[in-house]
Amino acid sequence: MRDAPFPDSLSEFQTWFAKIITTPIEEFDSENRISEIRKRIPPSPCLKSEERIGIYQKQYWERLFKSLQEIFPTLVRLFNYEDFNRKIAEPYLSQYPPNDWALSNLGNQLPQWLQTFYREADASLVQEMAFLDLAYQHLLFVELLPPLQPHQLLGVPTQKLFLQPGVFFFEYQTDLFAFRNQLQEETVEHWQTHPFPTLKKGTEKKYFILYRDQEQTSYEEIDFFLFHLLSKFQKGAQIVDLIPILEKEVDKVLESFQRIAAKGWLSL
Amino acid sequence: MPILNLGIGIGLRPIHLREIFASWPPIDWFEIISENFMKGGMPLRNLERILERYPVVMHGVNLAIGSAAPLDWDYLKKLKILAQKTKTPWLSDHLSWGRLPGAHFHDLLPLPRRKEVVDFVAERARIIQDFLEIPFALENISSYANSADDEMPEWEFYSAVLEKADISMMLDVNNIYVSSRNEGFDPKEYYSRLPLERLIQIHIAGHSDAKRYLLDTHDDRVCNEVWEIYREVVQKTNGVSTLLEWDDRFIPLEDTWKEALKAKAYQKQLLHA
Repeated sequence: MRDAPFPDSLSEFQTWFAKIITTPIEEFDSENRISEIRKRIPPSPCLKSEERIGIYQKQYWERLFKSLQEIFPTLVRLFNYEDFNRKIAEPYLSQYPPNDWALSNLGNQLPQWLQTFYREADASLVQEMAFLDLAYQHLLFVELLPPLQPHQLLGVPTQKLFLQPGVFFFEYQTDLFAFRNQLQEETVEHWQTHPFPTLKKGTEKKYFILYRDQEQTSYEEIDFFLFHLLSKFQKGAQIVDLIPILEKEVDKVLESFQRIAAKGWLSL
Repeated sequence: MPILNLGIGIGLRPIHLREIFASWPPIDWFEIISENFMKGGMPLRNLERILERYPVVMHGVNLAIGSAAPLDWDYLKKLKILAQKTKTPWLSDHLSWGRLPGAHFHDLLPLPRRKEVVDFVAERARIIQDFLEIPFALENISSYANSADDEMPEWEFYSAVLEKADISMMLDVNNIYVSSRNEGFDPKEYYSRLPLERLIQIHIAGHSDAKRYLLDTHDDRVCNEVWEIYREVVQKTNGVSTLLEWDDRFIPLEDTWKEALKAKAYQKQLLHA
């Protein structure tokens, strides 16, 4: 592929400029750095050199903070804007700065980052909500395959069936989806002055499926049988291979496959 | 080739989709931020519905043409696929930089205004236009800083790139005003020296006043000074596709369209005088 060679002086200038604007805001005004900036950036009629490049530095961080806040709306409600930026966004972005054109990819490593670096008492909840927020974000961009139609089910016992891309499964001790919905119903500011909804831990595990149809993203609680059955289709499976599982809960088979077909969770 | 005048458009933003799908308002055309649709999925499905009823023009923010990093061909291929789908009559992005190898800054950063940079960006612009196989336009950015090594003012740099690359001009008249206030020049000196025969589209927008400087925030109505620049520029054309950008602190779709329609009134008044 053709390209134009860039001048070395441009590369040198941009590398320097990038280093300045990606410096965290509070580390900006050291004397050495200011004298360096004044050599490279002239003052304007209204602003000093360091104030001029400081606008780009502020924009860089604010844009990335805002993007992460949009990807993780529940986390922002758990922390509030300021704490989210300080405790999560800035240290995360310092380790995983954006490296591609899609800002929507910015948070892809955040759940893993939290597992390693976030050790507070609420770490487990924070990590779960980060996974959940990210799953909702991914579903926005999923390309759906033609869903398996109910009448096709009987005709495909030996054909490999697949889960639609972007169907996610979750197992929780509590209903984190309902908790997330409750948080989303109010603003970030609201949760700064009000207690969070109570999270009641049940004695049994709950199973959920998060998916998108043509119009919207939805979640449903499912029983273990359906959870187990659907998870077999993640890498593709033939119905005949699943007979041992189906035989264990014969009375649930028809209803389960009707639900699978109606929701369009499988494709050929 | 005569330049297509699409009339007056507004930026397609998710917040307005429900209203658009419910009433299909008589908006001349929509501009999309290309990158918002290049990953496919739900945004692209929504765009397909828009394409059934409206002309759509693509405007990008992440090409970062002047970056000292190799062209991102994966990005360009996705851009071309979307351009073929939308049938955009032209495609624009900014005269700026924003990438380095392994890093993307997601901003429209100012280029040093030097002859060697003109040559570099112009060659890239030609390569990109050849690849996309549709007219390619570059937009002037709002400027908050410049390099001590600049060899020319911004209008000369902008004009030189357009001329040398033989591409189209996407002129943001709000950016001229914002830069003029921040850098202390007369906006007339800027637009009166541009090769307006290359003008394919105008952007109008609002900005924020941070007291000691202006910020290009696209979150307010177009101020009188910007409308004045718009009037002066339009007067030198036979009418030109104009787009109101509004990206934050949104107002209802109907009010956004009313603000954009002021441009239609100006064009009517000026071109039929």
